[in-house]
Amino acid sequence: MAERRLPPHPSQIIDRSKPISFEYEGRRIPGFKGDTVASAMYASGIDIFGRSFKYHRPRGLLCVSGRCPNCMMNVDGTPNVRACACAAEDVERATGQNAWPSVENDALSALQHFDRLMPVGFYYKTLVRPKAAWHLAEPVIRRVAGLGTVDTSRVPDTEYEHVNAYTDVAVIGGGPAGMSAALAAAGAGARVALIDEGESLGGHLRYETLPHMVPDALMRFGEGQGGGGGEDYAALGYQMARYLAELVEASGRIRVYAGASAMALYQGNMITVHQGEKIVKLRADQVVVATGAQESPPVFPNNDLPGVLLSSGALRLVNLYGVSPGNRGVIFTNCDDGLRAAAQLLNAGVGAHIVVDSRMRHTCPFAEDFRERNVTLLQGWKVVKAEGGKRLKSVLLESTREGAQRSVDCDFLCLAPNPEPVTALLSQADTKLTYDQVLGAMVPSQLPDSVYAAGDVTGFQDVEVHLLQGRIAGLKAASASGAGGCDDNLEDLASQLTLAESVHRGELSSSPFRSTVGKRFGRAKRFVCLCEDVTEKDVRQAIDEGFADVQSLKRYSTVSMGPCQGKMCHKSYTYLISEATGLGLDAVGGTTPRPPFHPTPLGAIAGPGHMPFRMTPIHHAHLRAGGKMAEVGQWKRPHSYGDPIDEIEAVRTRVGIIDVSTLGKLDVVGKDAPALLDRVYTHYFSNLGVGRIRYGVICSDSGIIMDDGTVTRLADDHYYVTTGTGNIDLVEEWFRWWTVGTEMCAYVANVTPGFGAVNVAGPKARETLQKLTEVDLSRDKFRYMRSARGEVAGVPALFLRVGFVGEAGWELHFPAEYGEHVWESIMEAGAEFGIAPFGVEAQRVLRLEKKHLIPGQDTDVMSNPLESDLEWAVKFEKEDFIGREALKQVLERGYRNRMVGFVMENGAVPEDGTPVLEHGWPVGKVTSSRFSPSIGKGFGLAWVPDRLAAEGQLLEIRAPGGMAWARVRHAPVYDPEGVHLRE
Amino acid sequence: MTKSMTTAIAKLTAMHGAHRDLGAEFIYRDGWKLPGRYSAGEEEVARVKESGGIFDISPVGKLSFQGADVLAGVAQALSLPDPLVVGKAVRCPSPTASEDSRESVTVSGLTYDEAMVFTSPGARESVAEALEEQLASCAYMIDLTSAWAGIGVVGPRVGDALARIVELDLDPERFLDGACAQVKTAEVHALIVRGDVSGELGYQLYVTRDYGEYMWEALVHGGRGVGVGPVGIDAFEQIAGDSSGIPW
Repeated sequence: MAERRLPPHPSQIIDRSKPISFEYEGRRIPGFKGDTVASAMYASGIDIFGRSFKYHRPRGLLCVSGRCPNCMMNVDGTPNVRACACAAEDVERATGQNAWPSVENDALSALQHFDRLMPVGFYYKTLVRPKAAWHLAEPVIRRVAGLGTVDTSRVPDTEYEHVNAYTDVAVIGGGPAGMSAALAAAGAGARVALIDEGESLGGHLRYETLPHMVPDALMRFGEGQGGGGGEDYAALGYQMARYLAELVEASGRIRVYAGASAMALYQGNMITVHQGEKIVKLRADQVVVATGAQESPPVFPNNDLPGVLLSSGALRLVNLYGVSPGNRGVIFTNCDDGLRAAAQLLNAGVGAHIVVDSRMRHTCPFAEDFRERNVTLLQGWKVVKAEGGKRLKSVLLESTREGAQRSVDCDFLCLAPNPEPVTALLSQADTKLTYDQVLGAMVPSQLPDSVYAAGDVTGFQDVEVHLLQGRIAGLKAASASGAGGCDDNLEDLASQLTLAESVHRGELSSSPFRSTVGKRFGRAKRFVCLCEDVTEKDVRQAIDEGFADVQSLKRYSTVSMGPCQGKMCHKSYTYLISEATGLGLDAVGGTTPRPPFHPTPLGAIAGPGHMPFRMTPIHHAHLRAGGKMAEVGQWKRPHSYGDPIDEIEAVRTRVGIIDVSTLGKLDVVGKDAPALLDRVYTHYFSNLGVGRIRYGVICSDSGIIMDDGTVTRLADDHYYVTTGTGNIDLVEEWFRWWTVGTEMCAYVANVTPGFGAVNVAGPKARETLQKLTEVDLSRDKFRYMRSARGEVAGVPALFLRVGFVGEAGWELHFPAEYGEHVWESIMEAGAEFGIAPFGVEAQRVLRLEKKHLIPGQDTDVMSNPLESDLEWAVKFEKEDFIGREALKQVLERGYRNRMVGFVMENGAVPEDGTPVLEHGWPVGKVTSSRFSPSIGKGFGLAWVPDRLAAEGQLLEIRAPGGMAWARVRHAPVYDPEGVHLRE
Repeated sequence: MTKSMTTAIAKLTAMHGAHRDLGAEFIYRDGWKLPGRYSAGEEEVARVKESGGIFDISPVGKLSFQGADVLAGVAQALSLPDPLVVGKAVRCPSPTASEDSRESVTVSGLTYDEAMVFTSPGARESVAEALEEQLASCAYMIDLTSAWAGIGVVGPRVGDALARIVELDLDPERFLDGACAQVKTAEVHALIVRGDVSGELGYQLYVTRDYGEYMWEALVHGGRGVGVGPVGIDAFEQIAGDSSGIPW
């Protein structure tokens, strides 16, 4: 193992007794169980993990928490995996990305010297003219700049799932504040869900090895939930984390989502949680946000060199994985937490020799410690430049008072800036944020109902404050959820918190890192956005060009638009805007933190893909018959069983059968049922005789066709209504609306799924069905548009003599559970007559030959029945019906457009939706068109202006192969007199 | 046609094709052809007790009553001790049960003007006849047995399986035995009723028949990770005994 491994320590989470290994760029990387891909690689001496998006600059570990883009690589075929957050145990192979020929030696890094050719706003300034320039350049740009590449030939074996979960209180963040909140809420009797990114709970305490001392009562939960007094509890950070985690585990009322990230906090407190191969849709009554704080790198020349890393990242490496960030380091901070980080690194044996504190004359609690270890503490100094080629070699320090400079050799630079609260989820919940001058951060100042904040996210970085905030939030949340009573000590806890916060505020001292302005450090790049390679120079130039607000700056410069979504750069660019414009940070604000807050695989978001489908009760019989299934809305229907032309021929010359179970079916009953139907249909139904059937059209208030179908009167107060396949829900709702609105006594029941239905049609339909029923189907006894109840193949059925396809035939409706039996019985009975099943394609041609329109296919939101050639179905003599007034206006103003049938003059068959032209201009459109076997020509239905609707009028239609002529024909192309129907 | 011919024809549930694909051994109950078992009977019983089973209970009679005062009317017709309310399913003696019979029905309030009575498959016709007559003055009855598919899930881990598809808090401490709700399930409207079976956590899921096979597949998929899977009616009947929250 390389020399970067440190001796074992109880805080570490690696198991040195269980070695593992994986391949990286042809090399075997050893590690231990518990390592991440990045920690194992870094321990093996690898410090260049990736290449930057645009300039291909080498990038090393920075955050070691899965937030920054620096260590993204391809792991076992998945691109853009953050190596620092990817457990190494099951990894077989990791490879670099966005580099050629390798990440270590990337020839494309020469691009960084041509940055003048890539100014900010590149896409708005360059390759604009000539237009072809962009098309020529685009493939090259796409190839050399970017992230990993998805292997589209690889089918991932990951099976993602979505799970619904519910809780009284959700706590986002498993640090001390989050665990305190969860334990307090659970202790009060609430169901609690605790979400944390880490594989184990503890947050930043997990990698802290310095002691914390808090009142003992803050570490006890459930019994009085007291918050102060008594003895103190003292423990090292990681010990405290483990103790609290044990309490959480023992609670029994806390469901822990470990290794999980809260992607979003939506309205209604729905939290989407990504956990491995699962998305949990967690709905909480109350939410405690304890998402902590994060460091983001200050801006100075070469701040992106491998070897420059954040203090939290260094502590993770050291205290979790036992890996030293280097042998000779510099630690640069502006706050006490940075000094604590330095002390911990030195305690662990990390070779740092200078601690740089930008604050002047600040009392350093670790000064003695540093002295004993021969570590130089420089107060009032700052790092102004990092130096090196592919990796850090030295840093340039400058006195903030005198301006004196000194160069210091080092192989790592640990940056410990004042961390920034992670407020993204709070912002999504509509929390108001305000800049706190003392805390030096944007902090929540006005929380919405049912949302609470606790911990580092409030800007305070003190464990006692965190525990108190968490406890109070947990108790309040439990109480508000109604699941648990609020603790009597809440007021006492609140006053303790006020005291602890004011003490902490008094102790605070930090000076914000300011960027080094000017050209005194040559052309060395100062990166603001590491994801998109946006430099300080770019941001300043964009501001100078007028993009001085965060939203337009983001869009123009692409700052914060990369994989980290602003986590690493938000602080820097808002400071730069503030500096340049003189606005306060409050006024500068921030960009909108949209979901997902954490990078989430698209597969996880897509999930198992519940795509509802509906099956008729005869579905499996179609499959056995070789039906080629098509999706018609949500229904699966046979498109055909072979050649639709053969199926058409069977219907026209012998007998055919089609599954029409998808027809909407409504049972309407009640003394006012006739009046209801008279109201919603344009036709009369109150005068329909029992046992008779009538076609009807339903219009909206504005006279537009909503649906059509048949209405069968079963009894004086009982009707059976069929609707278009896709319109049943709409029609049912429409019926119910008018029933309630008019207080009519009519019950409407959607019985669509309860009945199977088939249409048996053709010259031999009667003989076929007569073999299976005692109902007299003879022409004189069972006439067209009549109905009867009876049995078919032993099954009770409703016989409807209708003729959608233009042949003598019956629609049979029967209980759905008998679907396959009825179908197969009819097929068997019709075998001697040459029966053939036909699908929706044949049905479309057959109905089109009879000029039967399909609402939605042949009509649109402008189509009324008068202009749709359905005047005969509109009865103005009725006192009222829905759409009557609007249709009267159509009559008064005259027809503008007409639906007409047409027959092509040549052999062309236009496609559905193609335009009808007049003098080269589109004036209408074809709604349905097919080849008619009956006349041997293309034909169809079209909307044309009224002036072109006369019988025999020539229409110019765009057809495949060019323009073609068609002639208007009003009569159906098949059996215009309806002789076959009535046969 | 004669009546005897009618009764000889097997009724197929919406999930029949799925059962066939799973290699079910079929049995007949009250005219319905149902999966008796998919594997050894004792294995299926053990599965239900260890994790959970998914059953096709489509033959359960489903009688819908609509009317302005239907909840009060149904409660009176069934002699319920308490008013019938929306969101609650009540198990009570069948109106057609003889004195020494333990035949029961479950009635639930779906909305303020619609109640649903669930019956055992064999009692559907007689209960429908009796209630239709009793409620003629205040409600309209329609038999939705053919229109709705029913899926029963029973076992200690069925909550985890249902959580994959049901968008409702089914915590046994919150969604109590006898609770019912209409809820989006795998993107489809469904009615869910909690009805424990012999002390085992149990739910009935009802969807319109056209979605039956889809819902069955979604539920089987959801149960895969937690050991919940299809189980035949033999195992269900063995477990249910005389104490079933599912009318059978």
